[in-house]
Amino acid sequence: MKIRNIDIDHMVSNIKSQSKRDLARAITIVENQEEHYTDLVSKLYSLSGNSHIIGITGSPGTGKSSLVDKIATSLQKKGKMVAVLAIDPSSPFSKGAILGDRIRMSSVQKSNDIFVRSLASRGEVGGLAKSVRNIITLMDGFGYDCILIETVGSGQTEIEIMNLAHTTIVVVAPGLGDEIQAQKAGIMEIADVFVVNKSDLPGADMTAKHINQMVHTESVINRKQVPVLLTSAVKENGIDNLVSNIEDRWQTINLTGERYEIEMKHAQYRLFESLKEKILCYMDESIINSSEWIKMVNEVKKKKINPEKAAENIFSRYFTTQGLGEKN
Amino acid sequence: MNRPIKILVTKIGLDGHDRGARVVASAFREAGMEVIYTSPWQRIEDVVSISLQEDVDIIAISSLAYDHLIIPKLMNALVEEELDDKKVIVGGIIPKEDEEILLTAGVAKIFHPGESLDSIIESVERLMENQKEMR
Repeated sequence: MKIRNIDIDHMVSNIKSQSKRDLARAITIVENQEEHYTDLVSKLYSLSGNSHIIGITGSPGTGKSSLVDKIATSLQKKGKMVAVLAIDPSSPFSKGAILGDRIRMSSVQKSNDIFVRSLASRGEVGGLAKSVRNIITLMDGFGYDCILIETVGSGQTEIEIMNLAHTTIVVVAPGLGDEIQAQKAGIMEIADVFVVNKSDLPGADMTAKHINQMVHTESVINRKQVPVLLTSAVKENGIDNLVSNIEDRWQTINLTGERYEIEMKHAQYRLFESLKEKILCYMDESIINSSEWIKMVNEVKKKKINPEKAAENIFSRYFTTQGLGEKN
Repeated sequence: MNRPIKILVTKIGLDGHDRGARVVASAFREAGMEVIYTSPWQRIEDVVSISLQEDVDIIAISSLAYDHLIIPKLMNALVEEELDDKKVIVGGIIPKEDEEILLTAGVAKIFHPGESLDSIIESVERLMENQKEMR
């Protein structure tokens, strides 16, 4: 029985020399926010910044996992080192999760070189995003050329993926009809590539046509040309085309300087979110449990003070004396 | 336990009867565990690489048709990859006379037909408690 000793420096140097075992264990530490996890992330952060981070999102059942399987294998065959991070939801009731993306990833499994990690969303506010950010840093620091992040596209995570990835792929499938209409507004802004998967099913051309129309209208406004591609992950149709689109985009954003802009936004997002988490954590630990908090809640309940005014009082008391903020 | 138990539920060998594995996987989820679930017919090297990449705490193998006899091979492969800190449990149809083979190979626990889901979950949680103490 081996006892897991956690020597951060040792672990970091092993990850630098591309030990997958150490990467896997480091991810566990980061995911569970175990002791010293920030040291670990800090040490690898300075090594990161070389990966093409690719987000894949879309409604459940559009074939994201199968598509990731094919994209990853194709990139790997072209000589790229590929890692996959597959996120599945946790049960809000039991907190448990079935992480079943590997069922659809049979090609990836045959190649020992592709690193696949499943992640349960765990449902804590901000918690998932934090883990994903840090896990990307670890994979990037390890030296993967491409990191594919698969998320169920539901509201917030969809937007978050845009703030983490260089390339966001939105996957849709024929036959979802109205759903596409409903998602239009949110989805338009984040997609760098649209994929209509399951192109072997009837209606795929029609779906592609609808999306093309939306894309065209949008392109007039923001001058962003978003390709709409047809694929069938199961029949392996259109995968080569999709992968060369992904590679072309990487080349283009490197040449045009768009990558710099994207990474500037990423840095801003990461810092903003990290600071937000710190403040939320401070609130949780120091404010929510105080007697003053309970008193304020009671007064708000009794309509003696309006919650915004109460919040202002609490803010000026805690954040200005701590030097964390300034009251205007 | 401040973090969920991460458990791989899988089948090795040629048998595809995965209803049992599915039921147990759902029960683990309901008990708050994070379950990596794969299709059946995994090779030994697949189970090893999944366990390594996912860094699971426990590997649960379901065997209904004599595939349990390749489990000693899996145990060796895990040792070779320095993954012997992971506990392996086996459930399904395991003849009494084969139990010794599996336990000698390093299997932590064997579950037979009729075992209640609650008692399986309890055993898994106990295994994790022991492992935690050893850290």
